[in-house]
Order: sequence, then C-alpha cells, then structure tokens
Amino acid sequence: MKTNKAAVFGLCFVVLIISAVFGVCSGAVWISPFKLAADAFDGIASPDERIIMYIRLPRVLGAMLSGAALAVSGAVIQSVLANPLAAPNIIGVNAGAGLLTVLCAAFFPGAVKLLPTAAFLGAFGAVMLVYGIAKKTGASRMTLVLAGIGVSSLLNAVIDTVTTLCPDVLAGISSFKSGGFSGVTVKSLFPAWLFIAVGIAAAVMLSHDLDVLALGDNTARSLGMNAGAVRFIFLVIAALLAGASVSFSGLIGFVGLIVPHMARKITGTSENTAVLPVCALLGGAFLCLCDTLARTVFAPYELPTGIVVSYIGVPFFIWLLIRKKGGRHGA
Amino acid sequence: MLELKNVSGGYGKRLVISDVSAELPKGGITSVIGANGCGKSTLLMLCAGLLPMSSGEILLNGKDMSAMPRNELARRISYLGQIKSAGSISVRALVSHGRFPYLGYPRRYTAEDREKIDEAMELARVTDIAEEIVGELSGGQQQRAYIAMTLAQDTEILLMDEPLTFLDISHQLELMELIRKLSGMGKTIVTVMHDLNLALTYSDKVAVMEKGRLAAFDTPRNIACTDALASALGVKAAYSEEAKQYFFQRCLQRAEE
Repeated sequence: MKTNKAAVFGLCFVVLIISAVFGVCSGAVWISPFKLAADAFDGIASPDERIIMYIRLPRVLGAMLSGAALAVSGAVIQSVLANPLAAPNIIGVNAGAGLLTVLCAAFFPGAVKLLPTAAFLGAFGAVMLVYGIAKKTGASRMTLVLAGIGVSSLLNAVIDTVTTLCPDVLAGISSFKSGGFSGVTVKSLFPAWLFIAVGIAAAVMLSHDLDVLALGDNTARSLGMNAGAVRFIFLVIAALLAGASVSFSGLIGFVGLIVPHMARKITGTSENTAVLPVCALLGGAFLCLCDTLARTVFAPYELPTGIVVSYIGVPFFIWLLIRKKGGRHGA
Repeated sequence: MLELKNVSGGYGKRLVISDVSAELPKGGITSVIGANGCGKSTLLMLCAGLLPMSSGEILLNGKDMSAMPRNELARRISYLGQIKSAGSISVRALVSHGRFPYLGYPRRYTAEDREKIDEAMELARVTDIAEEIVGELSGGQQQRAYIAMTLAQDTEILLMDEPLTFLDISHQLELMELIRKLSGMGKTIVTVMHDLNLALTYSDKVAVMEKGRLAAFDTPRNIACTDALASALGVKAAYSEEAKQYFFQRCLQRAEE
C-alpha cells in the first residue's frame, strides 16, 4: 500500500492549525475566530485580544511544543531501542527529567532559565541507565519496559520526597506530577522552545540514519554506519526533547507512546523519514486538544492536562498490549 | 580477494575462532560448513569486520582490513546476517538501504543509486512485491528482499549467513543459481550453509569448521574424500556420477552430540 506522504503531511498540518485555532478561541469565554481576525487589525487592544495574547496563546503554544517534543522523542526511543512499547514516560526518561527539574528548583529557586538544561541532564541520565541495563543483560523487549518502569517508580519516589520536604519548589508549575500548562507564559517557554526546535530539526534531518539503525546493529554496521555513535546522538536528541518538555509542563505521559503509533498507522510505514515529521504535527495537535478539553469540559474547574491525556492514552496503551499478543511481528 | 592470516577472535573475552588461515579466491563460491556452535557465523562476522580480532589479520586485496574506514569497507563487503528486524517498511525502502555506504549528506539517492536498486530487485526477483511491507511477507520473500538489499550494496565480496533459511527447496535451488550467477559476474561469495549437498554441489571451495578451527579447506570433491566431514559433522560423503549429487551416511565413531 502506498500512501502519499505529501498529502498525509498536509492533512496533519491542517489538523494542527485547526486544533490551535480551536484552543485559542475556547475557554471561559468563547471568542469567535472571525471576530478575532477582524479585531487583530483594528489597532485597538480589546480585552479579548489581551486574554488571547497573555493567557491562551502561550498555553496553546506550550501544549503544541510539548506534544511535538514528546511525540518525536517517543518515536526516536522506540526506533533506537527497537521496542514499540518504549516511550519517554515508560522507560523513566520523563521521571529523570522531572527529578532534576525539581532538584534544580529546590536548590536554585531563582534560576528558571536553568530548568530545561537540568531536565535534559536528568532525561539523558535516565535514558543511558535504561539503555545500559538493556545492553548489559541483552534484555528482551519486555524486560526493558519492566526495567524502565522500575527506574521510573524509583525516580518518582525521589521526586515525591523532594516535593514533600520543600513544598514550595514548584509553585510555578501547577500539577507537576500529572502535567499541565496552566502556569505557562511566553517567558517560561524560553529557552525550552529553542531546545525543542533544535531537537526536532536534528531528528528529522537525521531520520534516514535512524531508519538504517533500526535494521539492527549488525546490518547497520555492515552498511558502513558507526552504529554506536548514531545511537548515542539519537538518545541525546530524545533526552533533549523530553527534558525540554518536562521543564515547563511537568510529567505528561503517554503522548510519546501513542502518537508515534498513530503516525505509523496514518503513514502506513515505520520509516522515520515520514513518521517523525508527522509525529511532530500530530503530537502538537493532540496535546493542544487535550489541554483545551482539560480547561473547558468542567469549566470553571480545570483538570491537569496530563489527566485528560491519561484518559485517552491508557486505554490505547492497553489495546496496544493486547493487539501485540500473537502478532506476526513487532511494529 | 580476501585472505585470512591466523585469525582468532570472538565475543569479548570468549574466544570462538582460533588460528584460521585461508585464501578466498576472487570470483569463487566458498561454503562454510560445520556442526552447530562450531563458529561458522562468528567467522563470517570476523570477515565482515563486525567483531574485533584478538590476533591475526584479514587482508582485502592485500590491504589490512581493520585499518579501513567502515564506510569504505561497506562498499567492498556486504553481509547478510541471520537476525533481521525490518519492521513495517516497504521492500523498496529496505533494498534502498543497501545504497547507504554511497550516500552523502543529505541522504538523497542519485540516478545511479536508483538504477542499482532496480537491478538488485530484478536479480533477487522482488520487483513485483516492491511496495509490499517486508514484515508482512512470507519468510522466503523476506529473505529475498534482504538479499536484494545486499546486492544493491554492489560489493565485490558477499558474505551470507545461512541464506537458504526459510526458503523451500525450489527457492533454495533458485538462490544457489543466483549465487552462481553472481560469482560468474566476478563477485566473491562466502556462505554459511547447513545443506551439505547444496554446499558441495555449488561451491568452488568448502571450509569445514570444527570447534572454532578450520579443519579442512579444499574443493568439494577433495572434502568429500577426506575424514574432515566425519570428524566435524559425523557423516561420510560419496559422489554418485549417475545421480550427479552427493549422498551421505551417518558415521558411528562420532562420540559427542
């Protein structure tokens, strides 16, 4: 089956734009996109425009950046580890990023700009730890996931300890453990957005090499690739993306797991040259929609975005586990 | 031409191959045979530069192979392993990866690359399934897709680890004919084989491995006459001029296994 890549890409782009517009317009008051477009050019800063500029737009941008980052990170991790069940939240990458974010906030309370770097280091530490375990034991797919869940739980326990002892550390990030975007401002997105832009660009530009690496170590090496170095580069990229996302949105799970699978379904292939760009678009759209639902469904109450993601993500994850059983081959 | 000089090696500290010397002639077919676990696959991986040698050297056209950059090596030696994990990519995408050693950045295929890819698919007869997903094909079709990938690599030396796995008998013979055709085109081919009859019938040279050592390295006729088969595999071979093939008989003197 041949799917037109340009058409799929265009469709995903349209979906992203629609969810962004929907996200910007909905909230406590619905602001019509047409009225908004008309307002934007009249030169007067109406209250609606201010709501959009200072509250909704940063939030929508944050959700889109975070979703794109987590989805691409997940696709990269799944490819590098040759494991369709791997994702940044499952194998402890998010938890590693979260731990260093919390520690950084506890010890250097004013250094908000340091958070993405700290989160990256935490994510990188966790991904190397899990990869090390996999390599050392020659572990199977399931063992890798179990090891990741173990590492994840341990890191979460440390996060809980730190946040219990210093309850004020994350005043800026609401609902850090389940993840959300309610405190996001344009300021808080810097320098994380830069990390994410660089990470996604690098992943997409090197996606051909990721495809060769996914053929297995011996095949990749016999095709002339320095497989160890390429794998290391991709683990750095995955950690950069997950870390940057966690630094401003907290521990949002499942986006990194389910969006790559959706992208493969839609493109009809596991070639990362096609899957990674689609992941970036779909991940952004998906998380933006989840966040919009989170703040509108029970308005004026607001759910943490991560909870909405879990409602959609967990059933999907279970379906994935069931479907894999007895399958002829891994995804 | 590939020349092994006192090659020893294995996985980390575990030595699997010890002191193997052999000269693989250009354009010939060499089959590596031996009992399970005797180091056939390891020897092939050493030849492909996928495992480090603990001692000895391998010369490729007289030049030390271990000093060659991996990318350059990949343009001279292709390797088809036993473990494959293509996932959900099309046959054409898989075969195209055979051109990886020739791609500059940003990884765009040239007209020459596309020509080689089509040629390779034609040779391995996967042109009609080019757009199918590799993971959804039968074992034999997957094997042919992988063979097409190594052909697209366009190397003078092809190393194949049990290329006949998953193929039914008619496809086995078809593949052996293809290998013969490639050798006719001047390519040097080394295959690890389980089927003794095909190994003896189609090869120019046969390497008999026993416990990590090269027990015998000779023409099929001579190998059939010696005791190497009896000691390494526990069988005796006889050639029937009438049937134009080898027949095998189990020996009783073999102690282990």
